Amino acid sequence: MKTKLLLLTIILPISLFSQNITISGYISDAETGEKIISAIIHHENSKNNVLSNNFGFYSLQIKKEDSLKITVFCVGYKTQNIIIPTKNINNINFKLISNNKIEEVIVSANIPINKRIETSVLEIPVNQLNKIPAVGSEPDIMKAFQLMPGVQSGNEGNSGLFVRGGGSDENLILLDDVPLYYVNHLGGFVSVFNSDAIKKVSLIKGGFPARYGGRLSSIMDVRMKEGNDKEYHGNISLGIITSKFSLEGPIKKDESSFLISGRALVWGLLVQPLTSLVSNASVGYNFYDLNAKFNHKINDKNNLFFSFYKGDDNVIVKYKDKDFSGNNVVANNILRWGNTLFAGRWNHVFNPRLFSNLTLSYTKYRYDSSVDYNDKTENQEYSLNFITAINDIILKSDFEYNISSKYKIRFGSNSVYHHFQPGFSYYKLNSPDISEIDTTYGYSDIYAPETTLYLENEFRLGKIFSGNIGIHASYYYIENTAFFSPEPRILLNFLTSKSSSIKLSYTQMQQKVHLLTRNTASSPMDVWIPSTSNLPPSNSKQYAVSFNKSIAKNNAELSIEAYYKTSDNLIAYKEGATYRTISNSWIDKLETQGKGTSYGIELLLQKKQGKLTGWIGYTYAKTDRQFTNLNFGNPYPFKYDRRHDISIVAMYNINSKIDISANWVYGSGYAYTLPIGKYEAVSNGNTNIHYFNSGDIWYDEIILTYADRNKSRMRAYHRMDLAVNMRKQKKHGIRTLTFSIYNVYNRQNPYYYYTKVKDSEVKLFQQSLFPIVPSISYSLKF
Amino acid sequence: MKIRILLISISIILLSVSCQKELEIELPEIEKKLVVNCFFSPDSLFKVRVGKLLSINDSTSSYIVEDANCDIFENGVFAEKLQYTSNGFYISETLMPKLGSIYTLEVKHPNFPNILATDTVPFPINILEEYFVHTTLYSPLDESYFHDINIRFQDNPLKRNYYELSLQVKQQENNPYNLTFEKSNDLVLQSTGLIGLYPRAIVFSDKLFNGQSYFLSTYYMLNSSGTINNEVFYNSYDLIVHFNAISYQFHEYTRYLIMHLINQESDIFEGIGDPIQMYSNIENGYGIFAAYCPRTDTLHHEFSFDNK
Repeated sequence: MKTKLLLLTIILPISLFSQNITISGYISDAETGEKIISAIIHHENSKNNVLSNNFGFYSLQIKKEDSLKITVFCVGYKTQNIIIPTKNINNINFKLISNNKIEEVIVSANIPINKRIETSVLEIPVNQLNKIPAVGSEPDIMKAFQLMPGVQSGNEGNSGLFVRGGGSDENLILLDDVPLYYVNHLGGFVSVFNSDAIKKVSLIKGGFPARYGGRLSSIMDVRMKEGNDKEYHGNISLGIITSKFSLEGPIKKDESSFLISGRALVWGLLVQPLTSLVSNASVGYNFYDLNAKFNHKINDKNNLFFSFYKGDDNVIVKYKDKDFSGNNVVANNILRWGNTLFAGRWNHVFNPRLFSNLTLSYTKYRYDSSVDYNDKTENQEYSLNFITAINDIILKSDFEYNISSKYKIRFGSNSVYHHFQPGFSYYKLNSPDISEIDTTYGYSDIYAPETTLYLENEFRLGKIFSGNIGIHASYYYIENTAFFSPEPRILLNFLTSKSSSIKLSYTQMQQKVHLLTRNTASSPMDVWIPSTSNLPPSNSKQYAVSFNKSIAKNNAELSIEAYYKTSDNLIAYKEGATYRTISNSWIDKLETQGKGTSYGIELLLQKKQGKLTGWIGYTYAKTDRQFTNLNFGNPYPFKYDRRHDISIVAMYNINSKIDISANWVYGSGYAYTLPIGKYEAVSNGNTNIHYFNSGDIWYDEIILTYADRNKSRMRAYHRMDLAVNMRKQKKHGIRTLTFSIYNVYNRQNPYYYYTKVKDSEVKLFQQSLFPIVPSISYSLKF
Repeated sequence: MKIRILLISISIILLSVSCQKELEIELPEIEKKLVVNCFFSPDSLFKVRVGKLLSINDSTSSYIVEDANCDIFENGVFAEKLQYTSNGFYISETLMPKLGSIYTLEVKHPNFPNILATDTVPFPINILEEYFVHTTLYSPLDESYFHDINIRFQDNPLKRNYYELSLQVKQQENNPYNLTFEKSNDLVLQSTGLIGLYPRAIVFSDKLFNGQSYFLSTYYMLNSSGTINNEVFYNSYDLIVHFNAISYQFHEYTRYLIMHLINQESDIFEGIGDPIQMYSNIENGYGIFAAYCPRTDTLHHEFSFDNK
């Protein structure tokens, strides 16, 4: 099988190659200079279409004898037709004029779904994202994707993604091609992505192109805006959760531009002084995100980009008081966690057919907790720090070679130097009464290089057959052990009519990093650990078949997709183990070599154009896990296994000043483990294991026994949200007021179940989280 | 703990409107199984409690099984039949566990499957040194006074050993009360992962100091008795130190019991974790049959002003 694939990848380029003239260039927004992704460049004679890539670059092959009539169109822009009088030309840059100045730039693929050489791809245009009702009127791309078929949210309010039965760590989140390891703020209620800085976002659930790898379940590709290279613009907004600003403009007109965007939880800063008024301890929490991008066009063939992101959550507890001896003491307890990301990118056009992209980047996630205590009078100091982090240095090269109008190859490499800091503590004590302590303990740092090569062949054969066949091969070396993983990727598309097609895909994926975290909302401590000889990389295989139809003159599209996915070498905590439990190895705390099975059917009817836009999604899914030492070795439902999931999202533009939106979601109950039995435990009178009851020798506790793991189901989840956006042209810009209501009919949805003794009986209770939540936000775009 | 407090404070609005709701659900039938609980130590009679598993919503049936047949075997040889007393307890008349001996409990009842359990009595701990230091740390974050209990002991290198430490305070004629383990800089105690769960007894193994003389030093929290002329004072009290050698079964049971009980609790942020099935060494049943070798010392603290 693998040999045949290899032969195919070699033969296809040769068989499809032919002599043409090639025209290439960039597609950009006429007003802002922002490069446009997925614009269609259509050649009238040949009826060939090509799409601009993630950098707005396109390459079009035309037979020498054909006329040069070209049409460029993109949703949200005026179509541009051009008849080129001479064939002695190979570079044309198109500038498209926006249809609607009051709206955000609309970016969306508009090649009919049946003709797109991709499958299992979800895309939400950024302008739609800003209209979807959200808690606190805070647009959130993660939460928007949770409304799409095949994507679960986990607990209510959580920004995590559970895609086709995968865990929250099985998603590769890319910001301008660089992985982000931690994507939550506020315990998961807000994601790290500031929609003001986002240009395009897509989520791939299956049929992964060979250029992607490293995670089992999904790829989320987020592209930051580059900044307006014509004039200065900005945006400020105030909401009940965050306040934001963004500023963009030319550094040198038409040549270089910048974008800087920030977001912060402002009211968190106010909490600290308020708490200090009523207590000696002041408690504060805040988070922020800072995005920046610098873009410089050297010439038509060379562009430079620099991207930067930093986001942190901070918990600060400060205490000032006198101790029992009257001495002034100061104590601080600080928790910090978040990402830092840098990327420098060089786009180079070797020739009209060959486009390259070289990226050098650095990404880091770290969690840091520290406790400091200082008593200057007694000359006593005490500090305890705990740090865990993952640092990656990445060198990535990507090439796109347009061999003909029907055949394109992509190839490249990705070299990563992982530096894992699985967790160590630093403890220091200085006191006149006690001998000085200065010690570090925990796990040693681990370094692991990883290199990946990939090759994609995107082709069209005849009028009905197209596909993308490739291979993603990685080499990973850690602690004297090497892992090599060839991963075939196959996507075939058969047109069944002018407007419909059937797509088949098969992909293998491998994941070499694992996340240790609790599946609850509050845990800020994510610990990433590497695959080792004792903990081999996780693997998945996914088969998918879909029927795709473009309807209503390509104003809407329908896809029905079935998938079957298996995973192996999964991990889970042993019962009762926690990460901070020290042992010789973290392996001691893990159940390894777990297996997962997931299958389902997804339906998506999506309308991206017109006054009424939105989608209807339905998912039927089943996901199991199996570990030797859990549930007596029998398969059990995954925690976020949900059989039925429905989402209806609608946005309606009443006029250029007002739009309204609504969504309704329904999900059948999540799995949970039901307590069914109870018995008395007896502890030793000398030890009083948990509770003390003086005078007795024996102390009783109630122990629960459980049914099979995750065998029971919670109540169904459903909710409706509404929002209205009102825009008005003001002297200094466009003002937008957003009113939204989350959970309109105040449904008490299950957050978790628990038992408690009531009226001398152990009873089962449901905890709910969000009731009806109205909110308002204000923004001014200038 | 602080993070939890913090998250609660910043989400107070959310909490004030979230809600809890009682649910009625149908439960599956439970298996008929006996529950046996017995901790035994040298020079004490065997005292076994026999009960049964009940359905979670059964509030009327009794846990107790009164007519079971309980036999004890010593090193594989029948030793004594236990006699029923009351409240589910079965007691040996003369048999007392001996150090290093293997004991097996067999319980039979016509309505339940027979159960078997075995454990061995560990040898006592060789304590080399034991003392406490008053007021070593004041933690403003916890608004608490911490004192040190220090124990040096010799570990037996020939096998894996398990230990249990608990502390009680007895002031004058009052009944002693237990202290919780809230803070510790001791690596071995930290490695148990139990400190954060505020246990009243902590169990650990010699995995990190096998065969060595180990100096165990950890905090206990005891607030002052008051002030006299603005000077902090501590009334006299006895610190009762229970430092027991325990079996592997005792260790696992205690560890799981602490986690199991904590796991039954829930809050809005943590939710409720994956349930922790309780450890048991009872074949065909539930409960525990585990040995320990107790050692109790009393350290006396005289009335003092803050001696920091």
